[in-house]
Amino acid sequence: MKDPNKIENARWELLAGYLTGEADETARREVETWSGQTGENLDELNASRQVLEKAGLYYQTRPFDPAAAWCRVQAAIHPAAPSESHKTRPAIRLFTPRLMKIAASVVLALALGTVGYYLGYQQRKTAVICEIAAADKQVLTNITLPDGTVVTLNSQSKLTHPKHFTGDTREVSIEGEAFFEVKPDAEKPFVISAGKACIRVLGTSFNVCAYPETETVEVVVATGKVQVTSQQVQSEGTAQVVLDPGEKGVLFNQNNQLVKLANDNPNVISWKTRELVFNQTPLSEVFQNLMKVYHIDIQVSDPALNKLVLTAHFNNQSIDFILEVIRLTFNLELSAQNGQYFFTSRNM
Amino acid sequence: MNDNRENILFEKIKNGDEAAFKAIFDTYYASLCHYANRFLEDHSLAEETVQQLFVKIWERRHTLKIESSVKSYLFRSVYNHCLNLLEHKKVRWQHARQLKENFREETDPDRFFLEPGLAEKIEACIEELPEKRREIFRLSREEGLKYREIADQLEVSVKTVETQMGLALKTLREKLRYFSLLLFFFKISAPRLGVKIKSTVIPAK
Repeated sequence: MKDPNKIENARWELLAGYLTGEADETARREVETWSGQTGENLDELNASRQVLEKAGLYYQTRPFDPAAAWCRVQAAIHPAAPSESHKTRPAIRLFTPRLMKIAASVVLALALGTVGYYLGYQQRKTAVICEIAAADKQVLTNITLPDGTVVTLNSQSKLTHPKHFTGDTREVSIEGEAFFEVKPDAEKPFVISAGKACIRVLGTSFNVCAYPETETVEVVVATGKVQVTSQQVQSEGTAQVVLDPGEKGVLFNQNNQLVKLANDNPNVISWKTRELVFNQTPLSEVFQNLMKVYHIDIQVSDPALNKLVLTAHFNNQSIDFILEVIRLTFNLELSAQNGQYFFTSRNM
Repeated sequence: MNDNRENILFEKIKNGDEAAFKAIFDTYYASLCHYANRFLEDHSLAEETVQQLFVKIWERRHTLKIESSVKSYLFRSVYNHCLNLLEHKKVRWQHARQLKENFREETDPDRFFLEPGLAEKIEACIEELPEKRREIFRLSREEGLKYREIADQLEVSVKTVETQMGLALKTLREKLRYFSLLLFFFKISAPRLGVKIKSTVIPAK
């Protein structure tokens, strides 16, 4: 096909006029003659028509939001959708952090794996709550919230947010692990409910790890300042910590203790970046990291292997490459079966 | 190729695979709403209708039968739903008849279907247009205004509108070249190659 760059602007003007029905008799005849001259010209005319049609469709379909609609459809197809008492409660009240947790667990129990539900079907103006869930071995990247905040969701994690942020704060909740790049807005703090912890920021990026089955909620800050508080009133210990970049806040679920530590783990967001740094790291820890990032299973024949230490830097390499490096470094045997990798020592 | 992928998804839906259902939903929801809106001339009624259709599809997933492609099945269903709605409610009966007549010639789903991913590409192209060109293009494509009306509204000459529309088309054609070639190719090379799926009742889990 002739390079459209070569077709001078006047030609485009003529084509646009023809396709939008603005061309007069002379112009129309000119376009028709031109398009009849070669197959390429005809293709160009048809392709241009299609582009204008699709651009029109882009504008016409823009008002319809599949994400919000999916919440409603999901609510309808799951018989165990939100109970009557929840339907009548104004959705916005669910977003006070304490109620949020209760509501979230009730809904989880009721909806049995529902990833979204819609409250106040009859009342059009009430808030729509969206849940985004990453399945096993799945990382959801670039989830953009209504305020422009970008979230990366690690596997088996769930993010709940309102379709629109109303009120003085932007409130979301997280179960599992996520990396937040919060859009700065000094007027409207971004508040995350994560298990027993409550995280409050203005505009920053940080990692939250709050899988329900683990004993802690961990927040590691990349940029900016982050405030972490315990959601439960407590008699002893720190009620809140303010974290700077490179610091880590840990909330122990069992005793509700909140501490601030230096982050000594360079691989906190490797699940997102697939960049892994090992510095004299025992193989057991290396394998833990690899299993988390690549969603695989690694076993060793001899516990002694776990004590070997590795210093390496991997940047988005394939798991096979990384395992090969480890195999060669320590002169091991590697076998793979059903997605499970098995290291054995050679001299055994 | 594409049709086939979707028919496989549809088979999965029949087995109760909700992810497959959502994939189909995400692909078609906005286009179907736009299509329904052409009949109903009511945005929220259009959305409600399409949502109900999807709920119904899910409820009847075990016995669904698709004769041609998923796309034509969905558009055909929306079409029937809308006409039923208008006739049943006896709302503007005359209007419904009129539309029925009009749409007899305009039921080609391709004229209403925006391919997944294309919206983002078009949006990116439009975002890059200079502000005035973007507004002229929007008034033409979104609101369907004539060049003269656009010129009056923006207080520019008709000649300016002509030039700007030409330049907008040029940009879109250049930036979407790969995509539109692909579409065009499919349109001429794969006319209605639907894969037939036999209706089988699969017991619920």
